[in-house]
Order: sequence, then structure tokens, then C-alpha cells
Amino acid sequence: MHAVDGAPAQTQAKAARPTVERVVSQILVVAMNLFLFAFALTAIFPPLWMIYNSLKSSDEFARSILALPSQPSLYNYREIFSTTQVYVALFNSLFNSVIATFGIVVLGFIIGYFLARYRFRGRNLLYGFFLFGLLVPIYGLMVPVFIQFKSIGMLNNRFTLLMPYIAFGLSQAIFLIEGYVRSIPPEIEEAAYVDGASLPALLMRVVFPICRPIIATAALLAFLATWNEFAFALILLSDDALKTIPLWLNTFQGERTVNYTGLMAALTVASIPVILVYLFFREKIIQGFVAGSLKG
Amino acid sequence: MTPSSLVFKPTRKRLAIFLGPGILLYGFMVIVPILGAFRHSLYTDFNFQFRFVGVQNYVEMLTDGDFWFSFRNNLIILGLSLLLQISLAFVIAVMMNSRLIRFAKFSRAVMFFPVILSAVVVGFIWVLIYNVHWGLLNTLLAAVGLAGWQQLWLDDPSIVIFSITVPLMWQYVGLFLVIFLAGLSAIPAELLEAAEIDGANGFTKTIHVTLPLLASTWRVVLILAISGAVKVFEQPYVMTRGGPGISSTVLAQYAYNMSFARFKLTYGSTVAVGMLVLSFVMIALTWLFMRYVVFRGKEV
Repeated sequence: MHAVDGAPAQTQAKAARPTVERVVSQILVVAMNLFLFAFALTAIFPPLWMIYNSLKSSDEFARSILALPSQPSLYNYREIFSTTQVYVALFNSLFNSVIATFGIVVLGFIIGYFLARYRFRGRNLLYGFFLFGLLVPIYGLMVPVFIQFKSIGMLNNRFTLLMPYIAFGLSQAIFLIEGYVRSIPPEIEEAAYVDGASLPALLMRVVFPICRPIIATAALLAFLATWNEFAFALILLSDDALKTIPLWLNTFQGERTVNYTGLMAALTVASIPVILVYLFFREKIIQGFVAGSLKG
Repeated sequence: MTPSSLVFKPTRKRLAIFLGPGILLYGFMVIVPILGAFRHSLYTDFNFQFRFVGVQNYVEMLTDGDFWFSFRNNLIILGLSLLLQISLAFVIAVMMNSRLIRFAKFSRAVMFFPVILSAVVVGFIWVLIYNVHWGLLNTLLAAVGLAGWQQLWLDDPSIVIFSITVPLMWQYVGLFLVIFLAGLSAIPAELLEAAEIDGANGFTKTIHVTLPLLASTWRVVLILAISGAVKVFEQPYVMTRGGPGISSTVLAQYAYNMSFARFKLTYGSTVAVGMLVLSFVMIALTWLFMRYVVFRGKEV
């Protein structure tokens, strides 16, 4: 895929140099390309290995773990989708992810806008308050959150995960949106204000459409984070009817010595939504991760 | 500073209505638990009957070998991440930025891909990779004639901490890569060209021009690496549950074990406070180091 022919621009620029040096730099360029190709392969091969092995029977996997499936079969997937747990888990994950993403985006948009546009007493304090959320080692909160939820009777409830998921995703969304709003000139809003728009109308009809690109980014990151979240689901839910996809995967632990290809199919099912989202929006997602980290 | 828009000077009432819900929810989920952890760390409990004991839990924690062993594991993860993962990400970013690389954008998207996978999925993929008989790793070692290197990757206490670190590095190296690439793309091309005209080759150019200009990117990366290494939980939980014994237990796993396996919730809270404090101390030290040693008080 990569490598083979060097870089013409470089060759031209250094045309005056002796041939030996040119050959050496050509070889270096090829070596660099090969190295990066090998590195990219290590990133993508394990998930690909998981996906193509999920199309094998256990017997075939035991015969050769590396070979491509000789007769690709959806048997493992039929097995998974013949249980009810998978549908329950898919529904629960979708329920949590969609509502939490919506909550994160709405609250993040409003707070991000206010922090970007207004000076008010306590504004900098509020900024630091939300910045703190980007730095706190989130799994340090598992035990205290459990105690808190247990003492107010909020464990094992259909809405239990929404609060932590929205709160933990909020900081990132706020800073993405705040940075974006700062970059747009306030004149558009002032014009709308002169035309007599109220604040909610201004936010909805003027600011929101302008912010659509960054809101899409924030929503994508929020969706990925909530779909994948495991630790808080693990401690806050024990009811089978509420289990999300990562908790459903966790039940395979006990069977791990038996059915590897079945496990791989389950892992693939869990990953398909994030893979699809990534295929379509990878540039936006990468930009969002970069912008989000630079704030920290 | 904030460009203060003239429209809608926010009144107290308006601030309360628009900002209130978010602040309350965030405060309830982030700030209150931290205060709660601190409060509970001063108690002992039995079946949710709490009894005040002062700093007894802290005294216990400071002399608790398992706590420090877990922290040591976090530090090993951090050390390996700095040594291998972040330096690799930097080198690859510099290469990709050199315009000599084909399909750079596509490669970047491929290398970033593991970042978006669920930690649970990554944990399981590596359980399968490390499997003794049918694992990818032992099979590949045998295929290249290195069968002697085969290991019980997740069952041997002397190597398991390294075995659980590799998946973490594998998953997040792409994140550091794209952050470095973003930092590199902000360096004006003329600067690098000027260095080239002055006779700098790729290596000296990187050391003398690129590296100093990336100081603020490095700060971000280091802080991210520290907070990432201190909070590690999900992948090792899936792979080993901190075992065998406590050989791959990290701080978050230790707090989890104390609270949910031994039901010592107050001691688990103490460990959680310890984890928060250690994390913030390390981040603050890094920040101060960058500010007074690397930037020497200039900028930021």
C-alpha cells in the first residue's frame, strides 16, 4: 500500500547533491514508509483478527488461529441474536447513549456559550470548576459515587447512569463549544438582538446553527464515551434488565475458556456502532479529541 | 479575555436558569463525591453503619504495602508510557509531518482507530492475544521460531504488569500521535525551511527547531499521560481483575477491591482520596516543572 517510490519533491530539491547521498536518502524514505506501514498494521490487525475469526467455527479456530475463514459463517452471530440478553443490552446502551449525548450537548452548548460571551461574577471560578472535570482521575470517583447512589436509593434504576454520564461528558463539551463561540464574531448576535430576538430564540435560531459543526463533534465524542463506558455501569447496576453492552460483554468472562469465536462475535457486535461512526466521521472525531486534550 | 457581548447582560435570574441545571448536576456527580470520599475516609463502616475514627484510615493506608504496591504499578505504567508510547508517538508524528510519507492522512486515521474502541473490547482482544494455546502472540512467536519466548502472559506474576501495560500503550498511542501532529502543524513551514537552508538535516532540525517549539504540546501530553496512568482501571479489570494475587492491581482496582470485594467502603474511600491526591500532586509538579524549568517563567 505504502512506500516503494520515494518523494519526487525531495529528489528534485537535492538534485545537485552526489548520487550516493541521494540513493541513501531514497532508501531512508522507503524505510520510513515501511516502518509507518508496519506500525499502522499493528494498530489495525488485532481488531481485524477479531472480526474475521468471529466468522469461524470454534473447531476451525482451534485448527488455525491465523488463517482467514475457509467458509465464513454467521453462526456465532445467529447464536448471539438468539438470546434475549443482547437485545436488552443493545436497547439499554442505546437508551443511555442517546439521552446522555443529548443532555451533554444541550447543557454544554448553553454553558459553553455563557462562558464564551458573558463576563459575570464567578465566571472564572465556573471555568475552573468545569476544567477540574477534565483533570480528575475519574475512576477515583467510583467508590464515593457508589456510596452516594446507594444512600439515596439511586442504584439499579433505568435512569441511574444518565447523571454520571452527562456530568462526566459535560466538561469536554463545554470547552469545545466555548472555544468555538469565541471564534465567531458577536455582531451576528447583536444584529439579532436589535431585531428583537429573545435569548432562547437567539440561542436556538442564531447561535445554534452557527455552532452546528462543533456541536456535531461534541455529540460524536459524547456518544463514543457513553457507548463504551464500563466502570460506572459495573458498580451502579446489577439488575440484568438494565445491563449495557459493556456489562453484557463482561458476562463472557466465565466462559472465556470455551468459545473464543463466539466471544469475538460478541466483541464485534459491541464495536460495530463505534466503527461505523468512526468510518463516517473520523476526521471530526480526531479533531475533537485533539481540541479536547489541548484544553487540559 | 472574554469578548463581552453587549447583548443580554446576564441577570442573576437568567444565570441561575441557564447555568443552574448543569452546575447542579456536575457538582452532584463530581464535587459532592470528592467531598463524600473525604468525609467517609474519616469513618469505619459495617453494613452501612458509619463510625467516626478520625485519621485512622490514613495511618493505615500510608503503611499499607498493597496500596503502595498498586501505586507502584501505576508508576510502571506511566514510566513505560513515557519511555515507549509517547516517544514512539513523537517520532512517528515527526516522520508523518515530513511530507515524505505516503497516505499520511489515511495512516493517521488507522493509527487512531484503537482509541475509539471500548476499553472492555480492548481488554478482551488482548486476553485472546495473550491466550496461552490459541493466542495471537504465542502463535506468532512460534511461527517465527521464537517458541522459547512464549509466556503465560497474564498468569505469570513477574511479567503480568508489563502484559497489561502493552494494551494500554497500543490503544492510546494514536491519541498522543494526533496531538503531536496538531502541535507540529502549528509550526510555520518557513521556520523549518530556514533551518534546512542553514544546513540542518532531519535530525538536527527536530532537536533544535521542532522540540523547543513543541514545549506546550509536551505539557499537554505529559499531563494527559499522568492522569491517564493514574486512573487506569477498565482494561486491567477485564484482563486480570488485578491478579494473579495483586500483581497487576492498580490504584483504582485496589479501591474497587477494598469496597466491593471486602466491603470496606470507608477504606476504599480513603484509597480514592489517596488516588486523587497523588494524581493532582503529580500533575502540579509536572506543570511547575514545565513552567519554571522548560519555559523558565516565560510565556503562559
